[in-house]
Amino acid sequence: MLEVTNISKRFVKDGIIIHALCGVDITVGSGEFVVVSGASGSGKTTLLLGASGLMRPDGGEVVIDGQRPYELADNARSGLLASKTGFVFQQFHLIPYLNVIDNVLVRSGAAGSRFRRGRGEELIGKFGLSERVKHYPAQLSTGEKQRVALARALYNEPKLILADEPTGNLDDENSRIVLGYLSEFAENGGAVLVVSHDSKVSEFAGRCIELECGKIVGEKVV
Amino acid sequence: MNIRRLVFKEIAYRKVNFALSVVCVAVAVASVVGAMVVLKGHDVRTGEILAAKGAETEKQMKALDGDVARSMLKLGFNVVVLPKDQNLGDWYADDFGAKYMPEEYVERLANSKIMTVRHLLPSLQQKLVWPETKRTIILIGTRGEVPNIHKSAKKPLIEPVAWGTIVVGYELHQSLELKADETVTLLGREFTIAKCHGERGNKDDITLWIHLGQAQEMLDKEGKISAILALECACAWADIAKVRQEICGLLPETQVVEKGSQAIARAETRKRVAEEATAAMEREKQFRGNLKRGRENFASVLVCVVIAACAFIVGALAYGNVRSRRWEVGVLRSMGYRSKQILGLFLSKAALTGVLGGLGGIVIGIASGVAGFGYLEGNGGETIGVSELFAGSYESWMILFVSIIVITPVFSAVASWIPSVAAVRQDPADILCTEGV
Ligand SMILES: Nc1ncnc2c1ncn2[C@@H]1O[C@H](COP(=O)(O)OP(=O)(O)OP(=O)(O)O)[C@@H](O)[C@H]1O
Ligand SMILES: [Mg+2]
Repeated sequence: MLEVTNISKRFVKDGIIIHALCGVDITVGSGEFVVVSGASGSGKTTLLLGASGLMRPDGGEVVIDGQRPYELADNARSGLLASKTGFVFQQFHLIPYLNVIDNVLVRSGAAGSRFRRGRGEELIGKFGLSERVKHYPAQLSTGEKQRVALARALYNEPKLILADEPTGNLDDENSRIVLGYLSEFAENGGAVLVVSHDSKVSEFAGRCIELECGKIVGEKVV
Repeated sequence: MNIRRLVFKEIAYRKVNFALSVVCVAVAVASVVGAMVVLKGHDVRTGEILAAKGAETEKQMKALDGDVARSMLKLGFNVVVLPKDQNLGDWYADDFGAKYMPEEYVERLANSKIMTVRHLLPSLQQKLVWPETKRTIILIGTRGEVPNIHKSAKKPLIEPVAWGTIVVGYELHQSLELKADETVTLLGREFTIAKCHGERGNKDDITLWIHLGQAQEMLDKEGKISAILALECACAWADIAKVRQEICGLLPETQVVEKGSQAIARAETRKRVAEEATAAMEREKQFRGNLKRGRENFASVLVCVVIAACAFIVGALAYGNVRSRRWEVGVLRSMGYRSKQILGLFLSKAALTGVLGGLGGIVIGIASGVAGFGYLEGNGGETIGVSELFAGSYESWMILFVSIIVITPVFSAVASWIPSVAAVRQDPADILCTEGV
């Protein structure tokens, strides 16, 4: 589902060159739950964004479900992101002026997507938020926010979920709930790539990759 | 979920920011519309003032015209037609002429339509020494009335002197002890005295009047006269210069001397009043013109300052809004929104700001312009009515309003364009790493 081959990325800030990624290879197949862990600054987020088609790497190749996002025109890339991938962020990134249901349905405005209210309500029900559809993000707890974000990521029935520290702001219980949903998604044939330094994540993952200074330094199958 | 819904939701969420932008656009538009209303009001009021002044002047002139016409008819004015070669200095000094013109001129003048002349008195005059008494006299031959074919003659002004009779001036009949019905000899001819005049204190006292025909014979001036006295003339113009010009056109080789009369003075008053009224009108026009220029200058400066300030505020607000929503751009991109859609999200909000601000500004502009005009004119708050404002220039107002409704959205979209494009162009990853709710 996701093939990342030899990607590298460096940042130049005030004359200082930061090698965030140096030749990283990762593949995530359908039904796989892969976690990338590493210290802060090891390049986890950079890897995730590069793999998603949102941040063009300096070198290497990314293939999502047979398509190379960086070789596509803007519209086609948007279409690929809309139909194949779903994002979950550490900071949730819910839209503050939309209520719970609209935060899920906002996904239907993306390229090539359809408006399906029933699908939105079904996901909200699944994540136990049926009572909160009219509430705004500011009125939700962090765990609830992350569940809304997860519902939004799943709305378009993507094949690949990319999550950046999805449990970073959650307590133990909520972390387990979210990770449970992600592994369920993988069990149903989806591909999941999570970057996290949370050790709990490895309990749910099928494969753990260790990143250090932009390089893969270890990989173990659980 | 379409972009329109997102725009409305965001506006509802950030009401103050949006309201502030709309108010700014509205203030800018209102300053333009308000200035136009005041200037238009100025034009309307100027028209009214000038029309009222004009009507008043006209009324005044009509009253004076009537007055003049009445006095012209009642009093008339007198002119003396003299041969062109008559030296006027001599004529004024001696009060009689020594040059001659054809007698037929009298008929010509009588039959013309130049003016209504009640009495036309041709005369032949000569200063001579009365050989029989050795006295210096003025001999005047008169013919009395010449009938005017345009106006039936009324009672003759001066009784004609019959053939063979003579009228004697005061000094002459006093010193020579002459009496009516006596017979006197003049240049060898016998005359019966028809009348002895009372004292007049002028050259009439040494004048002898005889019949014109007899005078022509005696002085060997057949068919000649030396002056035509036109008494109680009346004409529509009450303008002596014009009368003079017309007579000289009709009777070549003549000159016209006016003998002052009351009617002339009145005509002159009328002329002065007319001139004064025209000058007053001109002064008012100039005053209103200067006022308008002042108002235009003030308005253009005010409008420029207001528009610049509002453009700055709208731009700053748009920039702030887009900047604070940069991460939103990243999130929408990560969900598969196209950059054009995201640009549309920001620009359609800006355009909506423009439309609402434009509409609001038109209403506020008209209201404040109308109120402001009343204040500026300072006549007890009496201002210009909206219907008065639109009367006659409905179309140009509509063009203005439509252009405002077209221009303001474009204008505010342009103000948002730069920050929006910058945000959309930015790598979403940059934003997503750092910001969020
Ligand atoms: N936009 C950027 N500009 C400059 N440097 C950057 C940028 N994004 C990341 N970096 C640098 O690249 C390196 C990798 O960053 P990255 O965010 O991928 O680390 P991370 O493993 O996700 O860290 P954390 O666990 O703290 O989230 C870091 O040194 C970071 O400072
Ligand atoms: Mg990170």
